[in-house]
Amino acid sequence: MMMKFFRNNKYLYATLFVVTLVLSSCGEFLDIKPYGKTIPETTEDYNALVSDMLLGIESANEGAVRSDMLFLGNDPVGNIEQYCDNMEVSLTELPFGRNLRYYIGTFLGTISASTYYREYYRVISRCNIILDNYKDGRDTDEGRQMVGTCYVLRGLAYYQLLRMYCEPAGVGSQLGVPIVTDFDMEGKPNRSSYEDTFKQAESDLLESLNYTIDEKVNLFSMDVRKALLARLYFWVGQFKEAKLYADEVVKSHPLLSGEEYGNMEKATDKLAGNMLLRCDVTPRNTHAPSYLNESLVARPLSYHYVKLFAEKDEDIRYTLYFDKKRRNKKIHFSGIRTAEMYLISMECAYHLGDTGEALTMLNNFRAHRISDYTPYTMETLPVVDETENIKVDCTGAKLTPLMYAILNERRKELYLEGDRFFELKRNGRPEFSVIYNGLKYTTEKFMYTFPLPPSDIQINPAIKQNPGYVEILY
Amino acid sequence: MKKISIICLIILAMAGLTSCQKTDELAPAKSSEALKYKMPEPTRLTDQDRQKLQDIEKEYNESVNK
Repeated sequence: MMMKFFRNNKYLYATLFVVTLVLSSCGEFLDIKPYGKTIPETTEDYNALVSDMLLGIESANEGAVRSDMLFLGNDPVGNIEQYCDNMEVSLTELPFGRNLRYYIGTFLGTISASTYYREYYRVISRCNIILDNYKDGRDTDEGRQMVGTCYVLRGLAYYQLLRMYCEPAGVGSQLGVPIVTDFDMEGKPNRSSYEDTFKQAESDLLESLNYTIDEKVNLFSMDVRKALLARLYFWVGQFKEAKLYADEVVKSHPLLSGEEYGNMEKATDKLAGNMLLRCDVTPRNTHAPSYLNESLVARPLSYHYVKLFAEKDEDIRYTLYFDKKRRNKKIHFSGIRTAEMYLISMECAYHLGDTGEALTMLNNFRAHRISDYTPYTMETLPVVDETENIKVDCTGAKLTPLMYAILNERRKELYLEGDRFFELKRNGRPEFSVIYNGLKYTTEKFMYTFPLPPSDIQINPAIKQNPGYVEILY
Repeated sequence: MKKISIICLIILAMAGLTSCQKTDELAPAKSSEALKYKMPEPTRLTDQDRQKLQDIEKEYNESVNK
């Protein structure tokens, strides 16, 4: 009976067989390791992966991984500034400035809050593939350069994860992020400790110092790597080490002043002055400062920011950064330049107890920005403005006039460079409110730490979310 | 009747085949990557807030129109 049925329907069964064959060869659906991806084989293959990430930072392409996010990039630098207190949200000109951000909650309450996390792990994953599998040619100059670059990229990714997705040093749960150093598609690591995440970033960046990287063809010169270490140590409060590396960078890239400084600040692309590295060094149209500033001018700078320029026109930044209506004129900058290193060293001197050196450095810095400058003494330092958002330093101590002046100088200098949000986070995570379109929005303490992607927690419930992120919207 | 059943089976198989191009080909709203957290709601302005807003506007207008 069955045989008769089969004979009568053999064409139909043949068709079904073919369909089943096609279905079972459906690569994406039933694939097993390596999930449609192949491990590179030649040096050229590996080099293509590394070059892609470096070009991404320069913004020449977006690449398969968004490596530009390692330094934020021009567009995010502008966005993150809009969440802070250097601009006056309540004076936003509407509807012209309707696309401007007004409150960090508008970022945290979207899937964009997970974007940095995912992209940093994509960088880490790619670096792990290279560091784990690249064997032939590893000991050549080209190979060592590639390996050294991967250590920088991975260390930088962990540093940014530490800044964004972990609470600041010395407070909170002291949880780090999952540490992944092997290429394992099926791994589901839990969160490490804050200390272990820091150590991973530190060991990667320190390891990179052992490699010779030709700075003519690669972004990560020795000074850039030292600057990244200075940033890392500074963020976690290891001031002795931070100062050591920051001083080395400043020594080879001295502070600029006057026309040289002005020319650097006006440069819309390329490396200028004492910039060590610039993300978006060749910006696409939508990352060009002129394009980004078209909407930014709809929001004036805040009184609290502008009043810091007590010397007004004598301070070169007063006319370089904004106009008479307090509208932005500064060029977006994302990268590393000497001023930040000098400010790191200055604050480190203070925290290490050498207030004399901190004051000397503060005066030297200001003398490079302010004409006919009269140095501060301990007695003539401005009194702390109690209405400012930051009320304690990164150790939790109440601001002294010297620390207040140091933080103010950093606030002025690094405006529109992606620094202020992390300064607020580092120094007490102050809660503050803005009025926008008839409503009041409050940046709460927990909002300085971004949420880990909810999907990662669904996959691995053992991962603990950061405080404050409770209710998921579907 | 059996032929009809088999033809239906083939049609179903074909439909299934053509709908499984990629594992992540779900509508974004159902994707786990599209999940997000609820943020605190903004609040209405108090009299104190309105006064603060007026002060900010006054200070700005006086300063930039000097």
